[in-house]
Amino acid sequence: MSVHTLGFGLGARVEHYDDLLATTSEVEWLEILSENYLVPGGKPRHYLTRLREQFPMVMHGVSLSIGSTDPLNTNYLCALRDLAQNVEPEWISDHLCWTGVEGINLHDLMPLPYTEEALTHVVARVKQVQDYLQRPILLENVSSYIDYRCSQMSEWEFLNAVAEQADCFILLDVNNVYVSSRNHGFDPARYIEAINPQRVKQLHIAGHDDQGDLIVDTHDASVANAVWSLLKLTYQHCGMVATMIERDANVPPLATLLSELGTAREIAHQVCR
Amino acid sequence: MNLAILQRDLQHFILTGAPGVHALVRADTAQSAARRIAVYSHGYYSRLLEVLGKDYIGLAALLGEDAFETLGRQYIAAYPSIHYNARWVGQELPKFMAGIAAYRELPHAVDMAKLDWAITLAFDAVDAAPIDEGYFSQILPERWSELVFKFHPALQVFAISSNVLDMKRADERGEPMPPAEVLPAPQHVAVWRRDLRVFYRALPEDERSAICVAQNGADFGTLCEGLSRQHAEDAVGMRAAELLRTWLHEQWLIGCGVGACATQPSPFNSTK
Ligand SMILES: [Fe+2]
Repeated sequence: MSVHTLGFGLGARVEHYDDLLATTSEVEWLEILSENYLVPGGKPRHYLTRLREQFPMVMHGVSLSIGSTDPLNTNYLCALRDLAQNVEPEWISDHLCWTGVEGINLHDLMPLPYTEEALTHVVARVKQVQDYLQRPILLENVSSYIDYRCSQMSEWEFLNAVAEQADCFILLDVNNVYVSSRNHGFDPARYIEAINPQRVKQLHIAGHDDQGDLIVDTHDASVANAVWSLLKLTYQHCGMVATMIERDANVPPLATLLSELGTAREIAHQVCR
Repeated sequence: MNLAILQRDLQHFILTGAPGVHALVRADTAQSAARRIAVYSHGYYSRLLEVLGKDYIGLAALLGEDAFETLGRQYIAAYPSIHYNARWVGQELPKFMAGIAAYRELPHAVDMAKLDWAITLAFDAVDAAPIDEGYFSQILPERWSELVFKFHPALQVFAISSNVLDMKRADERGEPMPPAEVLPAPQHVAVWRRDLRVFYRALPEDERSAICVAQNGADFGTLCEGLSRQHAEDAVGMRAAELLRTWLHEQWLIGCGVGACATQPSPFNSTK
């Protein structure tokens, strides 16, 4: 197993702050949702400082809106850079998506059309952001419920091309691959095997909500069996990559997530030894 | 299709639920396309309603689930989120309510919204280290009247016209809220953060005017002068000392010094 990864981590959730501070080595690193700490002070910043003393961290954002045709939000970038100066994260990630136009924020991760125009647009903006933040960023594939008529390539071709041309990295969300595959009828294994393993720096796994006709990415349940299988395939394809579980709603006790993290560890050990 | 147009159109479908999205997205039928977009529309409103619910706990309890959701949807439609952080989504809700005729007849609801939002602001307002009593003991007695105070940025003072403090306290204790009442005269409220917890309480009128004077940069002498209009002469010193002790205890004070003139000698007792 490669020694150059962070290992197995969790998202820092308010519900677990005190347990995390008391925990031992089972959680090797934490992912923070950057926006939760882009506030002036008080409890969020207080706990951030204490958690950071104990854990390596990565910063994960939802507001970069890298694919939007609105100008990049320089206030956001500036706040993000300041936070990064404090946190000194291993890396900063966001999503391959857009979150709104005409000044409105939908607070959602809207998929892009996979066209040459969108590719050129995103690549230029990733370069701008990386220049500003003085570091490469990671972009995550999102769950989607729509697929545009004008798309000219597959999502995995688009993601690989962005990473290659902008010289950024990929945060591969295995659950999102599964969710989108079911919603759009593609083979999730084909997606994962097509991703350039050299570019993958982090993995997300999470639970979802199967509504029958659509699968919705809710982060409110335990990881599904199909996603565990895809995680195994991902390790076979990429080798060991820093892995974390996303749980944002219906948050269980820390012990439950630690046991899921243990499952991920076992799979990685089977595959990557 | 041009990316900017596609994004503008799609956002319009999400925000309004207007028909026609089948022209943009792949789906077997128009219904299926609408169903897919509905995941985003539903997500948008439910996410923002959830944020409002967390920021306006008292108001949600006061109005009840249905009325709160109706208000929230009207508000979100009128004030779409424009900040990168959903934390600011609820910023204009008290103002929005004050502009709606139905809520002008429910002043306690608007008061509760103001109280809830002040609590939300105090929760993550900028940090500042409070001063303690030792700080005052170093001040030369003859310089006291020149002292000006600096207040913690989390401290907010505002007026209410109803008994929302009692309503909020009852709700926090898990008890039913008392019936809304209009107060005989407007009442000022302080909301602040001590250590990491947020507090609120009513302000007596003399304390309210003392804070107002001090927050505007007037010195301790002026503050006492104000108190002398409300208290007997021999009680002014006691009351001023009592207020300072309270403000220290509640961690409202983060500094004090002598006015704007930096060339004046230090007000601190150099021998300690
Ligand atoms: Fe994710």
